[in-house]
Amino acid sequence: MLSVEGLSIGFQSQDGVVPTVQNVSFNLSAGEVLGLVGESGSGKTLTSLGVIGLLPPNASVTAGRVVFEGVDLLSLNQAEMRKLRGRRISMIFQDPVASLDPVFTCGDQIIEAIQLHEKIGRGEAYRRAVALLEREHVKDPARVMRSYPHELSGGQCQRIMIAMAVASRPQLIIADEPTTALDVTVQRQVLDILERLNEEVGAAILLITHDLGVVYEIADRVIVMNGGRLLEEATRDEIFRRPQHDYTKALLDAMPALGKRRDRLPVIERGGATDAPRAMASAAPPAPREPGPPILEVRDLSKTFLIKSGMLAQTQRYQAVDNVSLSIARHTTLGLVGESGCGKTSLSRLIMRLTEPDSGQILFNGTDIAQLSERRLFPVRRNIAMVFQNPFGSLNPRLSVQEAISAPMQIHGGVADRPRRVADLLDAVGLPRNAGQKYPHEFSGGQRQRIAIARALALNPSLVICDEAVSALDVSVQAQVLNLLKDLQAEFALTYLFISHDLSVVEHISDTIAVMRAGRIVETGPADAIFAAPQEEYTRILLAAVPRIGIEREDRQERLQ
Amino acid sequence: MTLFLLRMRPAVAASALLLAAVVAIAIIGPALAPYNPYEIQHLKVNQPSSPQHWLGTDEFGRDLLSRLLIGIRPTVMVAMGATVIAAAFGTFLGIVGAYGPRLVSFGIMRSVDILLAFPPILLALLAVGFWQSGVVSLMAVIGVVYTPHFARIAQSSTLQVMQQEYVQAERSMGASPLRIVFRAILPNILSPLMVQATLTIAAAILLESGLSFLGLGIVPPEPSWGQMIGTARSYLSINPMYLVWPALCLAMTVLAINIIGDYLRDLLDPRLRQ
Amino acid sequence: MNALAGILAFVVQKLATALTQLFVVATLVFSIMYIMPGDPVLLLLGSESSPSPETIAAMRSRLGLDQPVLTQYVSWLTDVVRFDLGNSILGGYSVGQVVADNLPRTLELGLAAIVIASLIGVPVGIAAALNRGTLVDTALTSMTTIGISVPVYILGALLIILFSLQLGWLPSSGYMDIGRNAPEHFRRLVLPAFTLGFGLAASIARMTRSSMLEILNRDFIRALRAKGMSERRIIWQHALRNASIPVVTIIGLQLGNLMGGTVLVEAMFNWPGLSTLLVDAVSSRDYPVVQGSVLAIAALFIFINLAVELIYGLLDPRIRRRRT
Repeated sequence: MLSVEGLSIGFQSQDGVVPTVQNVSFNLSAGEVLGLVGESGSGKTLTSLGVIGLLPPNASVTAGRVVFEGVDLLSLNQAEMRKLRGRRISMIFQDPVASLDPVFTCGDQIIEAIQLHEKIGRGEAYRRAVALLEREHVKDPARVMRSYPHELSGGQCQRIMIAMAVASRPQLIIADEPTTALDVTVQRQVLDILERLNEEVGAAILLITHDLGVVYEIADRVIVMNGGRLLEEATRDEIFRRPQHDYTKALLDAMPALGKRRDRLPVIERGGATDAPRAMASAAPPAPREPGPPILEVRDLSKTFLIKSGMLAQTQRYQAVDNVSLSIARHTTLGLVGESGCGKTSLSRLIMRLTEPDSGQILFNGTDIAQLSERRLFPVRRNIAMVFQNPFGSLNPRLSVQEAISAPMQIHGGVADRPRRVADLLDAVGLPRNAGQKYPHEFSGGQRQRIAIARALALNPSLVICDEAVSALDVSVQAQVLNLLKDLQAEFALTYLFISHDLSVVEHISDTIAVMRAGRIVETGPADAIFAAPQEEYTRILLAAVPRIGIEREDRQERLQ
Repeated sequence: MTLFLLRMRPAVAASALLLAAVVAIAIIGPALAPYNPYEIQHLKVNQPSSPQHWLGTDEFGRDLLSRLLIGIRPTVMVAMGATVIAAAFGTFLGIVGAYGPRLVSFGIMRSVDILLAFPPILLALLAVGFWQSGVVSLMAVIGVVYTPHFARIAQSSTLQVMQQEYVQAERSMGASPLRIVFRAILPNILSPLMVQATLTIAAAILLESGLSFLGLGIVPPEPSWGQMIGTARSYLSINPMYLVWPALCLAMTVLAINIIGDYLRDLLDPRLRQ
Repeated sequence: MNALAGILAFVVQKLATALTQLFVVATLVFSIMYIMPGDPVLLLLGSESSPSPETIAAMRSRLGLDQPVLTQYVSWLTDVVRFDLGNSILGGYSVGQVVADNLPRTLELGLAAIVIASLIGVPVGIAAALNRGTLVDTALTSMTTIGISVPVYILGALLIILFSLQLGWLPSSGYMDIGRNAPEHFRRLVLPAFTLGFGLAASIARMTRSSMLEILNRDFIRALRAKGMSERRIIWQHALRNASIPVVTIIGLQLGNLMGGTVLVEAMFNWPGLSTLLVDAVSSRDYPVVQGSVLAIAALFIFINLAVELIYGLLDPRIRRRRT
């Protein structure tokens, strides 16, 4: 039905056309789900935009054909293309909230989409829209239709996008990272909807994603892209069992997977030398240290935020952290998992005393720091460091790397030879020494996260809080940073509080786990025990929602019962 | 510097040169004046341009070119002085308004809101109208009038920067508020403030000339461009060029500043870089 | 919360803010009398060479200046609420009456300027955005830079030279009552309104251009294209509606400059509005007139601002629920 033949796409630049997608060919037959996998910069999104004819103005197709039901789409003019879009080929995007017009209600937008391709009255279109939402099991469709996009959650918005995409029963749906912005349980629901629509409506789906787990869940066939080229094409079972290309193998290996704990993740060698793992660690990683007594104990910690939505609106109480207790043994890693809005970041900010707790104790090495004045807290701060989520936001763009890493030393003093210390730290995190003179914007995301880690280690802290520290990174880079964190933990006798929404990552790195939901810790215990036999219903739902390569979903749910 | 100029857009380079000339004339203008700008000649009143008087004469027969040349100085002094005052106080208030203790910042920002609710010329008019006028008081009054604008921009930029993780990182390291302000906040809010500064220079020039136009600014016989335009209004039908010359100078200067301001904004906009 | 209640709460909240602002302004205006140098009583008795202490005291009590400040303040506020703004020191006429005469003229001038500015600015901005990077864009954008740089009194003077003195099409200045001669009324409005609106038109055009470009880059525009919507419909129905939000904001922000511009435009064209009243009163230190006209200008400003905010809320559903 769809056949892409030798598609090449280039970006216009001052030095001529820069080829970004090169000679990509694949086929998609009716009703099939094809997974298109690649890391950022692989050209996967550009390929899909090339298919539907929505390339950005500075990009253009330089060669190839896109044949859809016997017609070369590239030979069609804009008006002819428009007739196909939305009716025969529709598209779902990564960020559902941003993909809806903020100033119209969702209902208006679905009705508009329906009326674009069918000459029916508004009332009829409204009923059709409600029916579409009902088919996706949207609760209270009438209210959702009245709502503006900002009043709905990401999952609800994505359902609206899907409703619009399938409204005119298209032959092909292009889904560009449709679940990346969503929580794992919502991802589960959206994938279910897509799968069901695929069966019911019979639309073929071109699913673009970086997440191999998602592909495993619903794809029939998979193609892998890297650096603008198509590397491998195979059926789902083949590609996961017997990957042919080295990159595919490495990608599968680099991904932490639930139920498969490994000490180290294999690392994909990339072009740039600076992304390579540090030399010393590769040979023999230092043996992990024995767990010690608790370094951090949190007792009954609570924090309520007062939210006032307007001058006349009533103040609402929002219990972000609700009577939380947890404890981390020295030299171990506590993984704190939960979905967005569960309070895990608020908890980390409370422990760092960036937010003032309402009640409860934070015992650090036996001293309660929950109520200490900032002056008394100051000496404690040098022993607790933090690594933040956003590698682009956590470094001051106006400070050189040298200055950034020296900052804790400038604040707390006590280090005689700072340049030397900075050089040692750069070595430790596997960055070249000349990195010190550069500024953050000259580095990639993974490198910046290394800089942030070097800064955190500057004063030899005993506790490091990592708040979603690898969430913004590609799989291969994520593997490098996770390995680095493990090595450093052994080398510098660190204790980690590792916060993440990604259960596979948490399982990989943690000794103990705490599962958080709506401000409370619902379950806590040794990592092996929790992942093998979760006690709480919520943990089970969470685990069942994570796609697992090699285990069919039905089996997974049964195993967890 | 020359290389820098060459790499800019032609309009920007021309504007930079024009502004450099304006500042230079503000400093050495009196030396360039072909006639005594205060000398009254009743026999040569309201003349059009001639070989003797290139731009003609005014209602007292004074040489227009000479008056234009020395009229730059008060305008430039008032504009620069007012901008420095507004930038210094406004940035300070804005940072305190975003970062300071709750009650203080509430007080500051509410006052700023109220002051922003008045058109600048109205505030300046009241202040200058009741007190004496002159370069120094104009500088002070215009500076104070534009302080809330700076405070508003500094405050919103500071709030934005404070959301950034690098500020959280500084706090988590135990950095003192002073260190956070000077190392994390100030360097990162400089861009919008620089853009605001160019806008304020232009606005201050317009405000000074506006007040002088109304007869409430620079006091005669000392000339300023706005005041010359104000006087020339009465002689429009006799000698329209009397108005055109200072108007042209003023408009060109403000245009040059605005072009530089646009250029700076494009240059400093993080979304347009990379 | 249902939608209607949300809108109502939004309106009430904005109204409350406006009234608070008005109250603060009234208080500030009251204090003008104390900030103002020189004794108003002596000013009032100006012609008499050396008034006797009795005369001064009598005048003081007539003006209520012998009362405690708080009493004076309360009575000032009550008077303001009853729209009693006192009498002119120099002319003896009722300030409230003069303000009531002059206010509509300034309002008319300002509204005409906003309408002219929007009619010019929005299409120019859209044209520049849709022709981005072309000669049309460069030409229009350069025009707007010139537009924000030319002071109103220079533009006004040039327009007078061209349209009145050279071509003789329009009167150079003055005001005509609409009841006495309606066509002449509007003929006399054209030049001052255009002069006042020109800078605002340039600002609106710049903002329309940049926000159109910004909106056209958003994800939802790409999603609309993916739905097969025509480019024309995307621009006029979705992009423009979204882009209008910052454009309305810029009108609100430029309101201060616009009101400031009336000071100069009214002087330029001998337009008998509030600003003319104020400038004359400031020059002659006629403080009740100063107080009255400042209060009226501020009130006008606050209420036009309120209107802008309400339009803003209608355009952007996100504003109604959040923000203060």
